[in-house]
Amino acid sequence: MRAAQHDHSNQAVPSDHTLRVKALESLLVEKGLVDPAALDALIDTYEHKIGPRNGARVVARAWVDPAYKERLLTDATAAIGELGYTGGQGEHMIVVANGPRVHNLVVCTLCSCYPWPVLGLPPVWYKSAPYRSRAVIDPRGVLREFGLELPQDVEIRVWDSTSEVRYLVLPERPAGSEKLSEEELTALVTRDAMVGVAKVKLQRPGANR
Amino acid sequence: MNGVHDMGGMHGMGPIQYESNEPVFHEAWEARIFALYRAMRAWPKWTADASRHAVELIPAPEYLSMSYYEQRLHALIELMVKSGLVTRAEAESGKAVPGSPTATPALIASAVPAMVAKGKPASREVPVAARFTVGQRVLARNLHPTGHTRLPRYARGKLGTIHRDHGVHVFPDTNAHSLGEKPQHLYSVRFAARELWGEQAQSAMPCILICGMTTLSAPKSMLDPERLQALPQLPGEKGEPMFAEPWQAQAFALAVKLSEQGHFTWKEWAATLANELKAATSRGEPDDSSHYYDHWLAALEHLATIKGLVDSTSLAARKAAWADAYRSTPHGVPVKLAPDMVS
Repeated sequence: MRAAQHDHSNQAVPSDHTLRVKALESLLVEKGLVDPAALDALIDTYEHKIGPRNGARVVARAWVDPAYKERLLTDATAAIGELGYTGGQGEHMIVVANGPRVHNLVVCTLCSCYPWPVLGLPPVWYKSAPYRSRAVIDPRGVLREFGLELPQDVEIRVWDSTSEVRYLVLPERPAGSEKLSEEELTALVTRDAMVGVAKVKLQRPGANR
Repeated sequence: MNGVHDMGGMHGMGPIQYESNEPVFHEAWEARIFALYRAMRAWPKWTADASRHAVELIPAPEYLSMSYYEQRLHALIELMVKSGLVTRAEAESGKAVPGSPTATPALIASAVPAMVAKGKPASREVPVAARFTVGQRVLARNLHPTGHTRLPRYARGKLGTIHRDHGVHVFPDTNAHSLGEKPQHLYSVRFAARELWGEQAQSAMPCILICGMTTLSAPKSMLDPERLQALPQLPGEKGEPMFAEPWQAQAFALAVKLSEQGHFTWKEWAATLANELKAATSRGEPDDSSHYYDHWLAALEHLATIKGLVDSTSLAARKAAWADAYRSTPHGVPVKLAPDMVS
């Protein structure tokens, strides 16, 4: 390997992918087709500004404010926009509410469509073949893999994101959370619960689940 | 196209690989290709639909072995070469052809926040009549185009119900190929799991919702002449009434409805009914239409039991309960089942 035999006075050669993308970016900068600072801004936006915390705020607001919840279920794009979350891959939003008898699950069997303004960029499992292939034919089996066993009398609705409409699941508010503030509730809501592969639990979850 | 990207319903893709505390990007190059992909869209030389199709065109074995961002890297180069922004030689060498013109970037850093916040709506404010209404039964057309389509294979040829009308949207199937936006109504269509996956569909009635447009058509009525002719010896053909008694009409409608809902095919129904009629003839019963609906009912009980919709014990219990209800209800009062029989 070249990287292992490099001259110690010089730097190690990075991975093939790093080299290919560097070559592409430098070519496009040389031709004036991209601005590297715009790339930095895009990466910063999706690494630090837009992520599942946005969706969690939408969910917590719906839990504490029945009028907001009604607007959210009637015109999700506008209601989510009220909190300042708009734009690419969230132009046409639908919010689907879980309940004691209905559980919603979101997938994109054809590619990787996902509601970016409220959840950020999708995790690898969401974009990968095992989830995309089985969510529609074996939703119970898929949920079991995520550790979620639903009673047989719960209807599962699978939403396949085949158009420009993007879906956000409104999870059930956990029992025992009545005294929590909106901010405390926000901290409980996970990305997985808003995709529909988990329920919201009273314990504080890990950082980005 | 019937590509490997159209994965809904496939088996054999392995277990879901879950990563706790997954970072947004695993490597710096992934972040760069993500941003390049977004920034180059700003030119605008291709649509989101065209970029999805560029990913679909990756040969299946490579598609399956590539990571998400490897697929984007491949697709971006193809889109740029096809649109003439770079040449194949430039993409391979990473060097601009000497003397080639330089441009001004279509997206600069200060414009990023506005671009991200605005997005690119796919809805269009054009007057297009809706072809379907909410609650209407529709058929996902059995189409197999070689180009881009957003109608997944697992839904093709299946009956569903219009769940929601999202208004007029761009039609991806033409837009991906620069054949125009062809704006039309976008519908969510609800499909019963049994309609999509047959007998082994999971019991608790999961349903699938997809969106479709030109890819939908009005289904043929279950009572069209072709289907009726598939039934053996149907009464009512020689001017006599189709149903002599109300229960006959009810049994008829039950079979049609259960078939429509995908519990059995019309072909299965016609075969079961033919078997009942044949058995009756071999028992020496008269070969006329006087007992046609007796056999219809027997066939319905038989098929519903085979398909696991009912079992013979609970059916017999229900029959006895109805008899009791008639016996205990005065004249002129509607007959109802005892509450403990109705779960």
